[in-house]
Amino acid sequence: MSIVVRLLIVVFALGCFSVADLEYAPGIVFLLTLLALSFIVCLFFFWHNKLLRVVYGLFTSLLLGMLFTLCHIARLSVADNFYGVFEGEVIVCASPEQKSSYQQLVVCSEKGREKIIVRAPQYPQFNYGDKISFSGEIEKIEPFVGDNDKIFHYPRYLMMRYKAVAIVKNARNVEKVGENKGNAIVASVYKIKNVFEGTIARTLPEPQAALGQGLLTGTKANFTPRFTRNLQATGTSHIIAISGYNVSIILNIFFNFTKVILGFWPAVVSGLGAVFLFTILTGASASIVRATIMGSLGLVATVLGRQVRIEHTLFIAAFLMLLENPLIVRFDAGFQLSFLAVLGLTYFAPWFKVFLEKIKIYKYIPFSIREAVEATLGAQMVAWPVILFLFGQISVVAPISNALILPIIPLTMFLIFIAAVLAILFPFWGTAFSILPWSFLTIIVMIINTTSRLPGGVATTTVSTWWLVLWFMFIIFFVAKKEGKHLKEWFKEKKYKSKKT
Amino acid sequence: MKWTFSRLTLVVLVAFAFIVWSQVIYGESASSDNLEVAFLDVGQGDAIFITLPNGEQVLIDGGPDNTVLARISDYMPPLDRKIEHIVLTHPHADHLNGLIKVLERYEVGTIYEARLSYESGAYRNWQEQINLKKIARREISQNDVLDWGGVAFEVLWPISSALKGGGESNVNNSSVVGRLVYQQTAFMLTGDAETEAQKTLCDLGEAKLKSDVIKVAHHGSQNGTVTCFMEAVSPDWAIISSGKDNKFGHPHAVVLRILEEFVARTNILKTMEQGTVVCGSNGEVVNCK
Repeated sequence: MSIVVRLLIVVFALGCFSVADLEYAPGIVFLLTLLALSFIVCLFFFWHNKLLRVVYGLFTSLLLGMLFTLCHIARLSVADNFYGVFEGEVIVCASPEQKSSYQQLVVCSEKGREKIIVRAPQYPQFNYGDKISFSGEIEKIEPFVGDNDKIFHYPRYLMMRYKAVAIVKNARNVEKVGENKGNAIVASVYKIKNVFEGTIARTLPEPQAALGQGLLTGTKANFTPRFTRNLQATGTSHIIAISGYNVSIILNIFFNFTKVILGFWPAVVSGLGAVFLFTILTGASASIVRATIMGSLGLVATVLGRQVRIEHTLFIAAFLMLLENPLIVRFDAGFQLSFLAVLGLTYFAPWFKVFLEKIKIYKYIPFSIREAVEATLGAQMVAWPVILFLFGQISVVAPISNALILPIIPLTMFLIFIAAVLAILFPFWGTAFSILPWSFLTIIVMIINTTSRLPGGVATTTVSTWWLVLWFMFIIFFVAKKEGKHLKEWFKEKKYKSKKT
Repeated sequence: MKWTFSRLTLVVLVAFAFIVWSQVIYGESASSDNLEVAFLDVGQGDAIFITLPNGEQVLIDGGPDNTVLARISDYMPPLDRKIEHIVLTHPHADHLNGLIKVLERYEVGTIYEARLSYESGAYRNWQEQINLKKIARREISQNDVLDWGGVAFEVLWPISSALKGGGESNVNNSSVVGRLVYQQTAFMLTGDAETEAQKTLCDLGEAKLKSDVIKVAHHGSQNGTVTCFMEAVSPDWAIISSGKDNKFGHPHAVVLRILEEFVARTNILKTMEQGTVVCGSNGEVVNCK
């Protein structure tokens, strides 16, 4: 993929970002459309001039991103008379989330497309596809001031996350009146997920079970607040955030396993199938969708006999995800961090590798640990100001914790999976076998808890928006320096071609 | 990364070494002559985990949420997926909700609770799970004595006639109150029994109430400690199970004053301050920390 296409995608994302917190206004949209059209006309008019072609192309892409996002918001917004007292029946249209003092449901009416968040008592517990009746007041979602004194655009966040437009904070008389009203395929996926999670919970004690569920299905529901804090303090949250890392493990296990037994083509099918199932199983969050698209593209590229370049698959994945939901670029920290991390992996990890290999004893450290250190440093390099900006703290011990943990994660995931399957088929053998994943999970928990206690392991400070802008300019400069020659080549290449024709 | 055969073997060997040592460490605590009573730190609620001298386990209440699961792991061997006895003192959320999570995950021998009519989503879920899994259930009331492998649980409350449902206070006053007796030592476990229940209990006299340790009733609430009851129990240790910064202000200053009349200040232990409180008894002496 040429450097220009990548630039176009970045500018499109910028367009999405810039208007993601605005309301839909017909006047603005009309103006933007007019502007976009005129740029498109210019684009055709000056097509022969490479520089102008690029400039007009970028402007068009920026405007299209803005327009696309505004239309997306308009499509999901509701009129003011939507809010008010409600009493009636709705359908649970996502897997319910158990919070510490209530359960959070996403519901929709039987034919309507609007989704509402409903906070109901913890019991009785509901499932995806249940038809429930309740009474309560449908309210507008209000922004609030967060811990770091920044205003959090909660309504747009919920619109991004659940496509929800309103909230019922205190639902009363919540009763189940029917079931199996949802999509049958989605329902069965949730069922499989529940069986897996339930089996892990019954086979392993806490906190190992919670970590096991986190690794395998990305569920965070059973973590104690303290363990969650420790994960953040050691910069290891990503192991349970189900990311490209987990996807590549799954892909590798299934692909290589089937390749040995059945051959190449069945292996491709099983690899893609496993990753696809895994995506749905984990709730298809932004970071995993990104990883799945990248992983699948990588595999397809291998099949076609073409070289895989992470940067390329990264940009395609980003573009596809923005088309599905443009709001993520602004409101999904997972999307932002996972992209920055991959950017760091591709551009900065090799740089750290060169730098660290100058140290003599470094090459005596096992390869897998070195790889983990370089990857963590590379990813953090790009992501840390954003992490500080979002969470107000950053882990300093992260390279140490990750170097110790990452090498054993693939094997641990594999063992948990085997133990869970065994426990479903033969409960006794599952429990007996579970001592293996238990040992590894215990080691991981121990490493996380111990390294989180290291003095000076966490740095806390606040970052202003301007520092963030400055930092990104540095990143862009660094990337541009590396990619600049490609851009020059592109211009030259076209010149050469146009001369030829 | 690539898993070469030798590296894989090494990992498996390390894992097995780990298993063996963990069994050595855990196995020792599982079979001893000591009774261990752990007042678990589950936030604002009650959960008491008892390891009997024969290695069996008892869980009395489960706290308000799934915190109890992580806490009991500290006192159970990793492969042990069975809790032999569970007591529900009364079905309020801060005692019941954690137990529901335990039922979902552990095999349970017998469940003991008082007969009571109480309406809540959680309590309905609890009853449904018990029926679905066909767990043995026994209703207990005053004068029942449960024999748990050499340790007796003498049920002192509720009396079977006091079990008519009603307000929240009545539910608290229907709490199971029991005395856990191991040879010369005893623990008074009071649930959320309030003033009314305790005043009636005073009549039983010192012979039936005297204990080394008392779990202070109702998380140290103002209506949870009566002087005549404390006099009859005359404990050496008092344990208060409540959460940090709880909205009720437990434990109450008045209660602390009453407790200090009977128990040395250093022997009043609070889960909100020091986390889980563990008491060990060898049959003659009790020690808590």
